[in-house]
Amino acid sequence: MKDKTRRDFLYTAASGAGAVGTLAAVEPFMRALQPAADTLAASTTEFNVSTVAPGELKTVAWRGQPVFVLHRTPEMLKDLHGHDDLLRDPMSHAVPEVQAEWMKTDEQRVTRSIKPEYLVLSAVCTHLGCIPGFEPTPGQEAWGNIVPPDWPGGFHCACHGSNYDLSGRVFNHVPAPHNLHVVPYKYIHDTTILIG
Amino acid sequence: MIDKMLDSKVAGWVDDRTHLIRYIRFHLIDYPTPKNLNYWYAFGSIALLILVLQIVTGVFLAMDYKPSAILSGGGFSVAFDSVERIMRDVNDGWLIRYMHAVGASAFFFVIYLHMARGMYYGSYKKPREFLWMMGVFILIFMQAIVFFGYLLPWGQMSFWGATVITNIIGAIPFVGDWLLQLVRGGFSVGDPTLNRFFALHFLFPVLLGIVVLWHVMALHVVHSNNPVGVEASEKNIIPFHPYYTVKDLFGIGVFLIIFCWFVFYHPTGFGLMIETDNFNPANSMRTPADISPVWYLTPWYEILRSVPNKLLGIAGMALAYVCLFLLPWLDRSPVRSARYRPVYRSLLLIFFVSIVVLGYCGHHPVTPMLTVVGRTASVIYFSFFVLLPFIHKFEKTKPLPEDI
Repeated sequence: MKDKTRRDFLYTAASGAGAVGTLAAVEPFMRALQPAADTLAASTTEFNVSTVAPGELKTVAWRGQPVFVLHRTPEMLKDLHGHDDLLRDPMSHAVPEVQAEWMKTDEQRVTRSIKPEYLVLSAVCTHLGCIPGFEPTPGQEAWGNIVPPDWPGGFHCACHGSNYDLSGRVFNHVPAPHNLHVVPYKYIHDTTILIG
Repeated sequence: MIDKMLDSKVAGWVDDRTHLIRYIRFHLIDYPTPKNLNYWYAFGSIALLILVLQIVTGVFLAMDYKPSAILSGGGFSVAFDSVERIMRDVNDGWLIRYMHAVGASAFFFVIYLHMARGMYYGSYKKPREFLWMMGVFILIFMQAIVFFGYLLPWGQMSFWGATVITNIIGAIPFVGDWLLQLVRGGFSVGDPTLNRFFALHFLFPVLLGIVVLWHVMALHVVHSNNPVGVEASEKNIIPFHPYYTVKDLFGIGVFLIIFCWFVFYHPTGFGLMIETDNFNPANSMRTPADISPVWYLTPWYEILRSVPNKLLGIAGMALAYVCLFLLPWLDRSPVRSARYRPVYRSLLLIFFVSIVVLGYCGHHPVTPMLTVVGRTASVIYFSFFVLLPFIHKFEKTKPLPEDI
């Protein structure tokens, strides 16, 4: 090899090895910024849904964020039908976060819960993360004109005015892009769910 | 490639507005250096690298560390638990903490060699007196920083080390008690002490960084000395880049291999870098059998311990630093390098040995034998500075070369 080529090769090889070494040294620091093992270990929450009375909404903390548990009455479940034209994504197809593995039938895509009466959803507005308020009474009686005249009952986010129905499905013409997210949960007992 | 980058239009645009590119050229590329600098001259760059490593690892540790002496659920303290959490639960937290702890020892090791180099080649002499004094200041600053930092894990050594050292302040006449409470924020080392030490352990390194930058800028005004100690002629001057950037990078490579060996195989440095007793949580009701500072503080601690009087001991330790500050004026010989000064060379080597002996004694519990050895070493330490103003009168220096 000529001297010049040899020198260029050594220069490139040495700087290349140095660059790879530096990148490797950055890796543990990037890993250290990820949640620690104990933080991840604290990421499941158990909840007994039978403590929620019919028509009542309870908020459960999971990973430091609120989760809605709503005990829907048969009327509430019936009212979920018939306002699909008001909704942006009535069958929850838009993104993976609004769906779940157990959502198999059309009915499950409407009720968005494993047991229809117990709705378990993330309480975080998909717009910028506020917690929406709950008002199951249809019409403008309770909230006035901040909700549309044909309001079927549901959740209203006061921060930027997003609306969701009693299945957490987002309305048209509001800032929130998606339905309220489904959280991973399962029944570990007849009335006990494990979130996470 | 570097030249291409610095000559680019973007670089020119930035330079016209900030002078950034000409600072880089002046300090890192064109900086004129004598061509005979040996590997002893790499310790400055290595120390700079360690400073950066300490700041980076320190910031990451601070993200998970909690400075609280309040009892935790497990019966230890929040601070101790948070350190253990870093070691067990935080991803790669053990690595970052050990890098930080070994880094502290490495920093002192490298700085002591850096200073020994300066003393051996007479780098403290005119026109580099101020550069030397800044260096001594940096050393004292570093000692304050590790002292604050060593309290943070809130182990037995943290607690009792801080108790003993802060008590030194209490011995200062008239204002001692007042000053002691000011430092501790209470009647004893406790939660307020831990909180303020954490704040100071964060603040001081930032200030240290500024002083270090000033130290480097000042060096580039008076330029590097060299092993021969005479001014190099024009033809023996070479630019810093690529000659010393490459040489320093090689030195850094060797350093990192040793550093990694400690981090991965002996992170506690055989009980010297993290003392074994510090894995026990702090207990204000029980003093460990043997308290000694970490190795890099032991020589100064031994001088303090050698004097059988509390106040005079502190004065002795302070005098040890003052002597270092005054070194450029105590040494009156016009010849710089010890290579041409046989008497100075012998005295200096004995001086170095005395510091190692002081360090050894300071690390071990007091025995009658070690007390005698420690006192002898202390006397030798100060004798060096006492003799220094006189040796040029009878020392027969070897003939100096015209050029390097």
